Amino acid sequence: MTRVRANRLYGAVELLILRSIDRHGPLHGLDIARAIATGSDATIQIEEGTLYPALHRMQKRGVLRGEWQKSDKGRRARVYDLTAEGRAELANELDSWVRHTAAIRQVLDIPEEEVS
Amino acid sequence: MKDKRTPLPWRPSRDEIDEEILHHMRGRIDDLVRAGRSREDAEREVRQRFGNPGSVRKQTERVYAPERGSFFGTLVSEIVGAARSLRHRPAFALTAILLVAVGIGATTVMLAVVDAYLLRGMPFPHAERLAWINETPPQNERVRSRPAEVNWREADDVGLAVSWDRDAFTLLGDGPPQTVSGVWVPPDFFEAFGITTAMGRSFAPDEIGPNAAPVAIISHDLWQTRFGGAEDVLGHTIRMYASDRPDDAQALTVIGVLAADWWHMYESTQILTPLGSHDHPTYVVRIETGVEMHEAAQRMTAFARQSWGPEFSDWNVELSPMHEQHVEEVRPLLQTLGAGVSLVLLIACANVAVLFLVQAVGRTREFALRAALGAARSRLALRLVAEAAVVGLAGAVVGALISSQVLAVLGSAIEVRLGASVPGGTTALALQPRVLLVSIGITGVVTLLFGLAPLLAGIGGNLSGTLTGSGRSSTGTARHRTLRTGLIVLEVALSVALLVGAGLTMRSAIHLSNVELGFQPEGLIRMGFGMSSVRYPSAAEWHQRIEETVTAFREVPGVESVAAANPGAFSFAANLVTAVDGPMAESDTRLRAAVRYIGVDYLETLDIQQLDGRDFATSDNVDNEPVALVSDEFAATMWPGEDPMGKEIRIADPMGDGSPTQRRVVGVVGDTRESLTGERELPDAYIPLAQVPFPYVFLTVRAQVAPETLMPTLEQIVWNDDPEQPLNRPGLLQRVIDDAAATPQALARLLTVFASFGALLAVVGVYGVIAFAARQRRRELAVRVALGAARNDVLQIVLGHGARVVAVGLALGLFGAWFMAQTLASQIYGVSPTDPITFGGVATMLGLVALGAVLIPARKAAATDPMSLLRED
Repeated sequence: MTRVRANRLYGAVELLILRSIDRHGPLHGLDIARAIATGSDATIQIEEGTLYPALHRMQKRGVLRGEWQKSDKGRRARVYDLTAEGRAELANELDSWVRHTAAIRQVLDIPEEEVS
Repeated sequence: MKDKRTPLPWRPSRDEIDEEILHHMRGRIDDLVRAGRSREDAEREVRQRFGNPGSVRKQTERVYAPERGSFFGTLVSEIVGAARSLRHRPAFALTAILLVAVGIGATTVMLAVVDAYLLRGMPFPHAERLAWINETPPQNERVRSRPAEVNWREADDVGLAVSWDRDAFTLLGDGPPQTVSGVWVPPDFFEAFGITTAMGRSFAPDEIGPNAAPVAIISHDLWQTRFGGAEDVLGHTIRMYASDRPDDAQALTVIGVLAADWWHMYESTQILTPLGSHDHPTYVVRIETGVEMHEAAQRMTAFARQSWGPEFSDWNVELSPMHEQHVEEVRPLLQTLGAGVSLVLLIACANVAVLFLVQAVGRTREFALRAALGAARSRLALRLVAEAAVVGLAGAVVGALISSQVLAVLGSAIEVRLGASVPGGTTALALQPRVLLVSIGITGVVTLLFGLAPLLAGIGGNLSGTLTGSGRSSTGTARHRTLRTGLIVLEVALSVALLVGAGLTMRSAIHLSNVELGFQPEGLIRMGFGMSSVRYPSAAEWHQRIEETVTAFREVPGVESVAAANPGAFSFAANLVTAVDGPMAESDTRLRAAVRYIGVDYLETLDIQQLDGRDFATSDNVDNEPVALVSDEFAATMWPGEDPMGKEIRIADPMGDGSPTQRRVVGVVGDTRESLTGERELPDAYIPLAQVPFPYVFLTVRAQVAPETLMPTLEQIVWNDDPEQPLNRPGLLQRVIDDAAATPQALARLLTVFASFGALLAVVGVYGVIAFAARQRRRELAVRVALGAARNDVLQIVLGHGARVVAVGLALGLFGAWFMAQTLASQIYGVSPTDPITFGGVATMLGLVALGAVLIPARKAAATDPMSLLRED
C-alpha cells in the first residue's frame, strides 16, 4: 500500500516539475516548488527532499537541462529548462496520467464534485 | 557547439548542491518574512521544514551514487576543490605559498649544511674508527713542558697510527715557479684513510726514508692546471723544494693522480710525497676493529707513560673522534644559525596560520552551510587540510628549488664563512635525498598545523547561527580570537628573540672591526721570507741578506718604511719570560708572553706607540748588551706598581741551545693584539732580531700608495737577487685581519637578514590581525560612536587591544631572547649576552614599529562614519 503511494507520488512529482516548467518557462527549484504550491492552492507542498533528488535525477536522465544563472538579487540560482526529450516525456506522461487517473477514479467511483 | 558533442552527464560538486539548496532556503525565509512573519520565526520554520537539511543534500547526491568515490576519491575531490578554491583567492594563495617557500627553503639549506657537517661524518671508510691523539696533562696543572713524542707505530695493540706533515712546495720547471700546498705522508696514509688513486698507483710500503726513490702523487686539480691533464704525467719528473729547505730542490717522479673528489680535511692539497722517516709526530690513529675507543685510549696511555718516563706519569692520552674534532668549531655556529632558521620557519608558519584563520573567518558562512547540510566535521577538516596541503606542497617545491640554488651558488662561500672545510668537499653540500625527505616531513607537519588551526579555533563547529544571518558578519568565536592573537604574540616574541640575536652578533661584529690592535694595519704588506742555508750558511750572512732586502725595499717609491720580524704582527707568538728581579721572580712562576724578534723600524712601520725609554737601534746587535722592550701590560703584570725601565728578564733563546739570555728592559711600548677575539692574548715582549737572527722572517712594508701596486715590484727585487728565493704568503695585513672578522660578520649578516624578515612578518602580522579585529568590530565601534563615544575612545579601544598584544609578545620575546643569547655566548666578542643596549633597543624599536602598525587600523576605525556602517546590509 505504502509502496504504491510512494510510486505514484514519485511519478507525479516528475510530472509536476515538467508541467510547471512547461507552463512558466525556465525555473529554479524554489520557483518550481512555488509554482506547484500556487497551482494547487497550497494543497501540494512538495518536499525539498523529494524535489531536489528529482530535479537532479531528471537532469541526469536528460529531460531537464540545468544552468547557473544570476538572479536579480545577484545570487546564483540553478535554473532548469525542458530539453526536447523532456517535452516528449511530458506529452507522454501527461497522456498516461490522464488515462491513469480516469481509470482509478472510475474504479473508486468518486463523484466529480468531491474532487475539487 | 556544446550540443554537437555527446553531452557528458553533468555532475554537480557538493558545493553546487549546497548552493542550490541554500538558495532555496533563503528564498523560503524571504517568502515567510514577506508574509508578515518575523525573520527569526521564519528561519526556525524553514529549518524545521527542511528537517535534517543534510538529508536533502544526501538524497540529491544519492542520484549520482554510482559515481561516488571511495575515501581516496573523496580526498582527490577535496584537493581539486581546494586548488580551485585557492585559485579564486590568488593574493592569499601566493602570499601563503611564498611564506612557506621562504621558511622551507631556509630550513632546507640549513638542514643540508647540518647534514654535511654534523651528521654525515667524514668521507672515509669506517671513519668512526679514526681518532685524533691528544696528549693531555692532568687537569688544573700548569704546563711545565711537554713530554717527548711517542712512537705510536710500536704500540701494536691499538691500530694504525698515521702521521703527516703539511708543507708548502714550490714547483720549478713546467712554467713559472708556483707554490702549492702539499703534505708529507707515510706509505700507509692511503690505507688509513681508505684513499685510492684514480690513475697510477699509491705509495709502496718501502717508499719512505732517505733511500727510497723520490716519488709524488698529485691532485686531479694540479694535473689539470699545471700538466694540462696530459696522459703521460705518470713518470713525469717534478722539480720542487719544500718551504723549509729552499736550497734543497728535489726531483720527484709522479706515480699517481688522485680522484677529482679526493678530500682530506685540508682543501687544495696538491702534492703528496713520502715522509723522510717514520719519526714524525703522529696525529691520527685508525683503531683496530674490535677495540673500543676508550680501551684504545687506555692502552695508549699505558704505552705512552712507559715511553715518557716518570716525569709525565700523570699525563693521559685522549682520543677524540676525527669527525668530532673537525666540526668542533663549526658546531656552535651551526647551532646558532639553526636556531635562527627555526625561528624564521616558525614565524613564517605562524603568519600562514594567521592567514588561514583570517580567511576562515571570511568563509565562516561557507563552512556553516556545509556543516548545516550535514557535512561531517571530518569532511570540513579534510577540506581545510587539503587547502593547506596544496599551499604546503607548492611552498615546499618552490622552497626546495630556492635551497638547491642557494647551495649550488653559495656552497663554497658557506664553507669559507664557517671556517672549516665541508667533510667530503663542497659538493657534499648539495641537496641530498635524506635532507629533502626531512624537509618534506617538516612541510607535512607545518601543513597540518595551518589546516587545522581554523578547526582548533572552532570554525566549522556550532555554526548554524551564522547560516541564516544575511551578511551580518561574526567576529569569530572567542577561541578563534585567542588563537589568532596567540599566533601574533608568538610572532612578535620570536622576532624579538631573532632581533636580539642579530643585534648581539652585529654589535660583536662592529666590536671586532673596531678592536684596538695597537698598530695600524692599513697599508701594510706582509711577506714570509725564508733563508737558504746553503747560500747563507751563517747567522751573520742571513742577517746581512735580510738587511740588504730591507734597504732595497726602502728605496722603492711609495714605500714609507720596512721592518723584519719573527713572528710578524697579528700572528701567534708565545714564550716564557722570567723576571730576574721583582715579585714575580720570587715565586717560581714565569710569565707567558708573546715574544717577537724585531728589526729596527718595526715599531715605526707598524705604528706601535713608544711609551717610555727608547726603540731598538742598529747598534742593538750580537756585539752589544742583550736588551728587550716590553709592553705596558707586560710591565704591569710582571712588576706591578714598579718602573719597568732597567729591569732584567730572562728569555730562552730559540735559535741557540735553548738556554735563557738575560736582557735589560730599555723601553716600554703600547700593547698589541694578535687576534680579534681576544683568545690567547698575551702581553708583549720584543727582542732585537740582530741579537737572535732567524733564518725565516716576515718582512713588513708600510706603503704610502695602494699597497697592492707595490707587491709585484717587491717580489721582483727579491727574485732579482735570487730567482729561487721563496716568498710565502705575501699579502695585505688588513686582509688577514678582515678574514679574521669575516665569520662573525657573516653570522651577524645572516642573523640580521633572518631577523629583518621575521620582524617584517611579525609587524605585518600585527597590522593584519589588529586591522582584521577592528573591521570585525566595526559595527560595535560604530554603535559606540553613534551612542556618543568620542572618536578618541574608539582609537583607544583598538590601540589598547593592539598594545596589549604587542606588549605580551615583547615580554615573552625578551625572555626567549635571553635563551637565544646563551647559545650565542661563545660566538660574540666584546659584548655581553645580556647586553642591555641590545635588549632595550630591540624592544623599543619593535615596540614602536608594531604600535605604528596598530595605529593605522585604529585611526581608520575611528575615522569611519558610523551611520554608513550601521546602514550596511
